[in-house]
Amino acid sequence: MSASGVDVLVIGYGNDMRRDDGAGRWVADQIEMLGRDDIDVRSVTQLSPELALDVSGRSLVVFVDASVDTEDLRVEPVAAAPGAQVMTHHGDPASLLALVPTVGTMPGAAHLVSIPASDLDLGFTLSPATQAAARQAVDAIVDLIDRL
Amino acid sequence: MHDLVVIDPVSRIEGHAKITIRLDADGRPVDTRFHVTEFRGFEAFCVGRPVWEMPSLTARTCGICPVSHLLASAKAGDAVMGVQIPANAERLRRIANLGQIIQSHALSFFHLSSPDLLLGFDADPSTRNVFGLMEAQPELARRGIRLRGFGQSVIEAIAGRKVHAPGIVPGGIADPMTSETRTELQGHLAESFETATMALELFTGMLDGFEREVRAFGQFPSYFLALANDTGRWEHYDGHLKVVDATGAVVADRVPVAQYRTLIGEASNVDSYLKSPYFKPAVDADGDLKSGMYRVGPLARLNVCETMGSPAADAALGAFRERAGGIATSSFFFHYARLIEILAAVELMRGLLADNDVLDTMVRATAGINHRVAVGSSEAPRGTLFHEYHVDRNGLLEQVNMIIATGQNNLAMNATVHEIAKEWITGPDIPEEILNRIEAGIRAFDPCLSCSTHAIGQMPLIVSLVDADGETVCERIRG
Repeated sequence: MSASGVDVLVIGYGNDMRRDDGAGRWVADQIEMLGRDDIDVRSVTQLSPELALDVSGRSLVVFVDASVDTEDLRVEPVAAAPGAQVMTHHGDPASLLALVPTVGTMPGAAHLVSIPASDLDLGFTLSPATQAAARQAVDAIVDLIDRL
Repeated sequence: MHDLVVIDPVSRIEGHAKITIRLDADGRPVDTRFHVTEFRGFEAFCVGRPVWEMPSLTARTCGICPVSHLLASAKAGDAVMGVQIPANAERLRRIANLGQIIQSHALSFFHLSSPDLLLGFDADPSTRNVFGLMEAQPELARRGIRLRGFGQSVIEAIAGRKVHAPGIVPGGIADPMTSETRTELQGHLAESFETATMALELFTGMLDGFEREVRAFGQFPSYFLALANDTGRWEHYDGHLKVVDATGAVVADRVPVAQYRTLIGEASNVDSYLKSPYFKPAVDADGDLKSGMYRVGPLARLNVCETMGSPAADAALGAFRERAGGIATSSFFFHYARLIEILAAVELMRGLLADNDVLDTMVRATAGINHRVAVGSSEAPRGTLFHEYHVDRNGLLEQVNMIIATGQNNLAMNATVHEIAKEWITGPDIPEEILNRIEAGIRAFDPCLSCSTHAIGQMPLIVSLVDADGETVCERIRG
């Protein structure tokens, strides 16, 4: 069981001042607005080590990030893999998950939702294509949670 | 014939950097340059925005130390309005900054530098990271994560969010603290104190084994600048500017932060987006930029203050000064100073939270635009931070100048890397253990290049060795 007693955690991350890079956080905000008691939400700039405390003991953790490496919305399982990236601005879910056993228990499952991004210029709004994919991501995440 | 070593990118720091080492005909370093190779230009981005928006906007400069920008910006906003904020607003801002110092220093020590210090500079690079630390010292790694988590919780409790928090505003604080929040934070103090003590004991117990690093990691004279107060106690939030030299002599004191330009000049560099601030009176006297080198941050704050203002940290400060022989001039001691500051932050927070006035609901002063030019300053984990705003009659920004801690350490970082290169490089090659020491020299300052340039993204390192003809003879890339 997690510290908060809530089984599901959604972590959206990215820079919300660089347009599409903030897609993960936009999705996190949408999930938060659903107001569901069974979902905890974090909207953060980067994955930093102490998030391992939040991840610990969950049944399901969903990471949501923007990606310039995909043209379609991707939802895929992610497993723990030690790396150096959790120590910089660019933490990745696999490295963060690898920290979890140090502070608690691994989540039952973890998924990474990658939202296609193309416009990383200064600004607060998502490009139309990323906005559409982000809406799909919200539905996909809710579906993932409801199938738990 | 000269050779040049280039380290590009530098790893385990925030941002993106490159190091170039020029060698003489005998393969000995004659010059070393630390370049920051990315640019954001946040100051221009802010022009035209309302001053009320500046705290949350400038907090986005950095995801690592957003509270520092929130505080400097909000204080500049206080000065634009010409208000004295309520006593409890200052108390809560101080608590938030202590949380900021704890979380940032914890990241620096436990996650970025401990792998070098505890596993060894010569350890296998594939395991010389936080995961190797988890294998070797699981309890320390666990405590490090929890300590940083505590610092973040403090920020969230007061500022409303861990990163880019909206709760610190011109005039004070948006929302008062509840007694439930206070109790929750107080529940973490004992463990945090224990962790800080444990880390300090571990580090000081290892110091004899780092005699060469202490000597070679930038042990040179420089000025030290920090905020100070009339009590002589360690200051992290307010007060005036104070500068001491390498002998401990006070060369400037009681300088209002609004007059920071009388102390600090800024030089641009042709090969880096990171400016080189310098101690202006020294450079004005002899025209040599290097004579104006000063350091800010934990090392400077401990050299400038007379006491820490809390029992355990004061005892630690005494031991620190005994070890350093008075003023600490080795950049390696930034690590030591950071741990003492964590200890002080936990102790001081305990006292502030115990005061029932911390629940006072009067936390915000309001006013319109009363001054067109204002300066706000705070001690960020990495050093003194300045925000200078020029606004129009409606409070829209016409000009912004931000002087970031990392930039102020630029001359000293260059000098530190050069000292390390001189100590360890003997030819046109960069073995792994030497590459790591060069990087560690930069990491001792815990630079945040995202703030100071402001670079976006990761912080890899490139190191290049270049000969007298300008040809790169060795290049190592990490990150």
